[in-house]
Amino acid sequence: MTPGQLNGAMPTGQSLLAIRDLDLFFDTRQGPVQALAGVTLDLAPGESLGIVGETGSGKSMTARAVMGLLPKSGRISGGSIRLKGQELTGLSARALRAIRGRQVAMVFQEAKRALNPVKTIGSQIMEAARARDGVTKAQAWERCLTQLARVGLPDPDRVMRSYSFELSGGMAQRVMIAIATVAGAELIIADEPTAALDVSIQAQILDLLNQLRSDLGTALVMITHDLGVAAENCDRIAVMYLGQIVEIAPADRLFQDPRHPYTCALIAALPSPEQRGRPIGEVRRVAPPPKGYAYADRRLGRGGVNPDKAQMIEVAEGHFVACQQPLPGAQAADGGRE
Amino acid sequence: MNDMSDKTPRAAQADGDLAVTGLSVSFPVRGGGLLPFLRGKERAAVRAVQDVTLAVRRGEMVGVAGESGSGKSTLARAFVQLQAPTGGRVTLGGQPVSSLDPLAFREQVQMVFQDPYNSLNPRRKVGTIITDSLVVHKRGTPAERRAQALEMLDRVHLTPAHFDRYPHELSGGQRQRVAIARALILNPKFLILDEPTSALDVSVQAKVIDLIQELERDLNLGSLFITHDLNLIGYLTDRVAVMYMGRIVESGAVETIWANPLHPYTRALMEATPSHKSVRGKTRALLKGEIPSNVNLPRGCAFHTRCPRRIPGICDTALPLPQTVEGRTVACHLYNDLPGAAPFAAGPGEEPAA
Repeated sequence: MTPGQLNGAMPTGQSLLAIRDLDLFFDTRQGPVQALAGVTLDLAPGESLGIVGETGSGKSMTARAVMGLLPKSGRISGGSIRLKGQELTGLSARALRAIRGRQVAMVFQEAKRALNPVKTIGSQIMEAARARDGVTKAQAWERCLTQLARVGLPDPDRVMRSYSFELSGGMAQRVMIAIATVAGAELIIADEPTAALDVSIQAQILDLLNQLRSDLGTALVMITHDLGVAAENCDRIAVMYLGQIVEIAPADRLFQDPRHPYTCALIAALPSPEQRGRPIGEVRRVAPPPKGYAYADRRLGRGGVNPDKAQMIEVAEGHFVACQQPLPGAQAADGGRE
Repeated sequence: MNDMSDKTPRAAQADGDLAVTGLSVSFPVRGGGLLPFLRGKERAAVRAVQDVTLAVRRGEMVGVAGESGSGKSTLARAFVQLQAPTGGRVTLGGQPVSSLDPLAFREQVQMVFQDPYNSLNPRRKVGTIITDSLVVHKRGTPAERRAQALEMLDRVHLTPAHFDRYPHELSGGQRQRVAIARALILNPKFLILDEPTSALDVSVQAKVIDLIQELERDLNLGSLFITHDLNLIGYLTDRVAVMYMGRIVESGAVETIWANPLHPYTRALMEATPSHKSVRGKTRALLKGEIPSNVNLPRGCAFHTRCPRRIPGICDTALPLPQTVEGRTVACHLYNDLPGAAPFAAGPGEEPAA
């Protein structure tokens, strides 16, 4: 069995997005730095997958690799990314442009900075709407208005004539979502879509994403550092650490029964009223080893360092852990405390 | 901790407390011309903080929660005299701080800022950054200062090797430790922390929070912890003040309020806060609309434009004085006429575990 089949929840044929053993390097003056090491995951049509992890875990780079938006120094050295069976790695910029917007669209973190400040919202959303084949200008305009109304913007006509600086952060993020969905993309990748927003606005945006997902049947990959956001909005969650997926499981399972030491540590580090009076987060932070089994020496509370590359082990249905010795079951929900 | 009558202005001036009473801060808005001024109109201003009364006692941590624009950072800056109040006063041990010598004040009240990347001078070494206040306050010889700084580095779990490093050589968590060391080197009694961990990853945040708790306990500090993260407030602080558009809408012991928030805004904020412990797909009452402008504040209760429990014709009239309801202070029309008749009933299992 290939690691891909181990990790994926379904055979490749049914998945919308299939990433297999993706390796990504950055060429720096100090030599190549590995950003992704053997990332493997599957996404079903209409599914929502959360990718969580801390800074530098590779969660954003995974998204950018799918979009073909890697920085210039980034180099995919192995593995494959298939969207509905079509291989995306190695595609020309032109071919990728045809896919972006129509099949995959991205929602960025700071919408106000992602939008072009010198173009009207109308011209930016029209560009996306007209990417769809055989759409006349008038039809595209209609679609834009419909889509802006659908994402909850009052007075779409006025929004079309506005510039990004005239919008609030929440409105700009709604515009971004309208742009991402106007051409009928089947997969939306949202990279920290609410990190710059206040909680009450964040709740509105997350609600909107869920609404669109159920209305349009769009699949969603949500990249976030906020485990709470992932827990409440995603079907499955992948935890990344140092360029690898260390655990992937249905959302409720991941928090009820985390197996990988890193996941346990991450959950234990979350402050919550229930944790009052107890210290939080005893995560040891160590310098990443140069290659191989990156999190081996971060295993908590036991030895057994294994230098081999991680293998995903299925510990329960749809629950995969990259570890030679998964922690025993019956982990408390607060990360193995008590 | 549960004795909320201590939050009255009089008690706020008890010995040793750092307190603000009726504090207001507003920033005049430029522009508009001379005409409105000549017509005797009130000058347009961003009313960042309005009539806030809050005290911090030694040995307790007070959390201030709120969204952006709620005035929580301005409040923090007013507490440390980085922002002159336009109304009300700041007192330390009952004495107005404006009458205190600035150096004497700073010896007792220090601040840790949000962004550890911008709050440390990139051209100075960690040792210089930490010992600087000792120089300003003319304490000790260079050798003594160095020894004191090394001791402080150890206190914040850094090593002597960090003394000669530059901030760019440190990680975000280490920088925030340096900022904490800098704040504590004068041995202050009060520490104002403005979102000290919001720029950090969760595992780093956890360690910095553990450090803050340890220091607060060991040094008997009184601290004000500003954050937008309600989970963090619920974990960390003893008392909490929830702010909306410059005013405190609800304040009291964290456990009391978290068990059963009474102000509709507190409740909405708590429902909107994602938690890994909450049920997936839960339906929640979303707050409609966005935060109004701080220049043209809504009339009456500032929250009435978004409030799910708005009473037409009442909520846009002047807000009543904050009421003490169920062991906490609430500023809301709902509790004006019928104190005690809680519109949000506490479930049997939700009683405050005080």
